[in-house]
Amino acid sequence: MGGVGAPAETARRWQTVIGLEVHVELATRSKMFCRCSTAFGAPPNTQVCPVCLALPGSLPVPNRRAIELALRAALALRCEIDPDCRWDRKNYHYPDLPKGYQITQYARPLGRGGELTFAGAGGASRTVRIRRLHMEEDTGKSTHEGMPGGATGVDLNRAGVPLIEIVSEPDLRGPEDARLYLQALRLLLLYAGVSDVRMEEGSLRCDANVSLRPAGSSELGALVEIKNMNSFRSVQRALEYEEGRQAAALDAGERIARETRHWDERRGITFPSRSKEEAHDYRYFPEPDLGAVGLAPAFIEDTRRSLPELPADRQARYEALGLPGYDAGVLVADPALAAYFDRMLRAGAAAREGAALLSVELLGRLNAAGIGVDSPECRVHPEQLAALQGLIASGSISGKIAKDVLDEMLATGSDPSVVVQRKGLQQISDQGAIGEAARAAIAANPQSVADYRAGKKQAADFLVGQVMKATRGKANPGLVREAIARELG
Amino acid sequence: MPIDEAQVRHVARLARLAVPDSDLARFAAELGAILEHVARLQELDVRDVPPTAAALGRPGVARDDEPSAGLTASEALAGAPASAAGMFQVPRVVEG
Repeated sequence: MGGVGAPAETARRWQTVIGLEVHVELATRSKMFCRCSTAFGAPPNTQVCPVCLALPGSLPVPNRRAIELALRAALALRCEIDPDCRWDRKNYHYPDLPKGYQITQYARPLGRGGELTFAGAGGASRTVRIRRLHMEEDTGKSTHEGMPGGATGVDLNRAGVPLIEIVSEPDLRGPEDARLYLQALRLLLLYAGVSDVRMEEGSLRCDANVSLRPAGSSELGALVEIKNMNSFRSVQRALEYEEGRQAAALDAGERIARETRHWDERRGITFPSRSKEEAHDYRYFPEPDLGAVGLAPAFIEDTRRSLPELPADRQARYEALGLPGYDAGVLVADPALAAYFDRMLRAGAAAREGAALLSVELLGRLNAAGIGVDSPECRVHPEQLAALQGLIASGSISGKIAKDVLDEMLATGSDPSVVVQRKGLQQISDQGAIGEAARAAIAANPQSVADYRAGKKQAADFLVGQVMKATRGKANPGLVREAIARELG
Repeated sequence: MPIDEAQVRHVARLARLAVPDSDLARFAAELGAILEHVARLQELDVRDVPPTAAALGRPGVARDDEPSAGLTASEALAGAPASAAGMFQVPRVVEG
């Protein structure tokens, strides 16, 4: 990773404290307070109506599904739910905000006091507390492209799209942890079905609060807010740069200004934003056009029960089955892959061997072909891959032959037993046949036998190889090794 | 509840209202009188009245997540003082 990077001595002197504010667009079909479509990428101002354009006389009506998805997120993050949560107005003027205020939740957010546990830097378990989770509406988008005379153009298709904001406590202690937290949060929301969480499309956005304090101190230093980080990588890079910048300034005896800074991806630096402090006087007040959200206890409980197994639980389940943490993590990180693996397990696959077959052999081939494991083009079903693992486990075929069988399965969609039959790939485990082949190899290679007798034990490997070659890889390698050793006496 | 001219200037700026200096004193007096009038509500004993923010909004009102067509781009832009490339055209705003 680039950035300034604090030297070791400085790193000991200062502790980095980071909190993240994450905005997530909810996976609804219509907007938060009107029926306009939320589809991404439509021509400008084609998904707008009097409500999201703030035309006089229009009134907001909340989207039930948006509230349900926000509730799912709050429950997945173990937040305390406020069934009586309210809407507020956040007042400010900007061209992408037609009403002159954003409807959000200020005094009574949907959720408070949650937490997210994830594997931090070096694999260590970290828990970050969630201060609050609230619902709000998105703003429009500004652009300069295609506008005459350097004017700004405003597209209000995004205005009013349902959002949640998830504010963490300042519990993160480094840029890498911050990135890993954000990735774990993304995965949690993906599993919970809350959002498509695509950072490149802006459905997941992240701002960070960063400060440094003397190591051992419990007081927070001057807070700097970093904006405009558009990928997981840029979150880590921006925070590394900012950590180094603040440490260098503090080492030089300077004071850190409390300010908002923008990350410049191309130059790899943060720079102070030009917006004035006055812009933060939002004069929040209760939204008079809307009643309380009003969450019935039964609705909260039904929603809680409808949550699927979440990433941390799935990780723990796989590890309990004997998968190493890293391997389990690879599966859990992709919900489609984890679903595939679960179907393999249900079909009777052994966990460790099945996981290796899936994530190394099948995935390697699919990635090379640019095919997703959940795509119809993937012609190997989980039950078939489980059967292939069973053939290896029972000794019917060797692991090496299994790779050829898998190639054939991918090409034809056939069951592995059919491929093995058709191609005559059944492993040779017959002692007599293997002994015969071993004797033939020994008879044909007197030099290797002489080498072996002279103490070059690796000559036996050559003879084993000759038997495997003669049987086109079908002989059971363990039995071949035994037979060669026995015949050489 | 008197407010001073600096507060009037601040609130006017937040609301993007151009208030001439010559009007500041008058607005300070008028806004102060309004606040004083509202402040009289604090004399009421409301210990047994549940707090509410909305006079009309019932709790729990919501609609289904069914999209429907709104306005076309040309209808949406019809009232805009200026537009180009299907966008509302505003003076240049630079983020950052």
